[in-house]
Amino acid sequence: MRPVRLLDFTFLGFLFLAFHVTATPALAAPGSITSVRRDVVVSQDLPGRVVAVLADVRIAGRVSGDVIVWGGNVSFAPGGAVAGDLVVFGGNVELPEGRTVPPVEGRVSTPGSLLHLYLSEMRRAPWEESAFGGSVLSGLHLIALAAWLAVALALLWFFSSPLSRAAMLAGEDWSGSLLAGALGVLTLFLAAGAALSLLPAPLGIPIALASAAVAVVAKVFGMAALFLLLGQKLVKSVAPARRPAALAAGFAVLGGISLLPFVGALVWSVASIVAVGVAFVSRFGTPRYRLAI
Amino acid sequence: MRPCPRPLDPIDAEAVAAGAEPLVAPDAASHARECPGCQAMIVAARAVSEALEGLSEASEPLLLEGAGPAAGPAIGLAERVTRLRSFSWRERRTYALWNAPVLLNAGVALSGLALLTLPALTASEQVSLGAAAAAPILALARSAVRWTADLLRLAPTALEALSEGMRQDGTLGIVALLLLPPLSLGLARVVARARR
Repeated sequence: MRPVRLLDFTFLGFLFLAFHVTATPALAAPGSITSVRRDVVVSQDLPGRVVAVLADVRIAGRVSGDVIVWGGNVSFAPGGAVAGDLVVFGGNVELPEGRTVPPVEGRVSTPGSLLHLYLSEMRRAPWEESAFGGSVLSGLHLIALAAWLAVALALLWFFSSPLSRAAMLAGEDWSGSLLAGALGVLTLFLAAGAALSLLPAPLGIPIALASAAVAVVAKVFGMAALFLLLGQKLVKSVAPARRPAALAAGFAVLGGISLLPFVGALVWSVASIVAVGVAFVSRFGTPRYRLAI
Repeated sequence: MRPCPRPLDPIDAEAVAAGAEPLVAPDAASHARECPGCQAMIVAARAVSEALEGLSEASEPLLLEGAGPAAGPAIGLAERVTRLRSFSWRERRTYALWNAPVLLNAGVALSGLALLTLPALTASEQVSLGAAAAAPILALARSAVRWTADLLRLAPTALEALSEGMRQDGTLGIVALLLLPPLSLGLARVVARARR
């Protein structure tokens, strides 16, 4: 069977276009507001829901449905309330003065941040974050790093050969991995964006989720390979027996740098892009040739 | 030949054969000098390595004649085979190999928990030291469960809302669609070049 090639994305593109021509345009439900790249102000009671993408939302009236915001902030004016759920991806919730709890009858969720949930579990409001100093943030960061190392170790345990092959290929061609990573991330992002924009939701959402899943799996595998490669250079050995120690050494360096302010986030982001490239270039460490014995 | 009561770990046999430091038993080399069975293991490991090196050397004239790298085994085959080989069942279960990352992982996780516990330990309203230390750990577990549950519960609605929003602004989709073919072609070329 012929393997699926990246060139097939071209044909997928034409499929998107065909669907776009035939798909019915998305219409917001009556009484609802949907906005892209334009801020929304709800100044009077709204019977439906509010959806905003890359836009801020200010609520000064009562919204009967959910308020869902992607890439924007939500602020409440006095008298503003939400009867449904309030979901904010990649943004903050600002409360009116004098209030400690958002005027929301349903759930308030900012899925991009575990910190707020942790603070609420500790019976601390998010605005008390500063009172905790940096220790809570640093603690969560270290626990996240420990999870990274645990996953990398599990990958090395089960897939030591593919991981070593990916690390070797990355070491032979750094620039190729970086380029493949940048192109891979952009391609997956655009594929998800095009699917969500042009296809009907029942088709577009699974494609977008599949793109995200590929990106996450590629990043996790590639980061483990990067830890290994970096460690092998540090311990100056590529022997199988030294692989676990090399993985630990590589992780210690990258994880340590990630704790630095600004520089850490930058280095980790670049490493993530390279990691996706390492996974793609090595095809997740599959051998170049297979021998039939 | 009498069976050895303390047979060499295969990884130590490989290390001694290659002239490297043994990992599991530091006295592997001296033990093998006195034990014919273990000496045989080292000889076998060296023979495999030399056989692979022999294959590499045999391919070198072909490469020099311009036959290309695909005509025979690559130079440095023994090193590549050793570098890429999978862990054996025994290596997976030899803690000596894994102790560095396991200890580092435990250290990082405990440091993180200690940092989370610090504000609770210094709080004036704490009931007892044990309860204060346990509170952040329990809170972390609860928040992780809540985070996952919220994400799973809200993801369908949120994605549907994102799709609705993006379909209202068709330019985003058209721009993505136009950029997708050149980018995917570029990616295909980069991957193909790397695999050559």
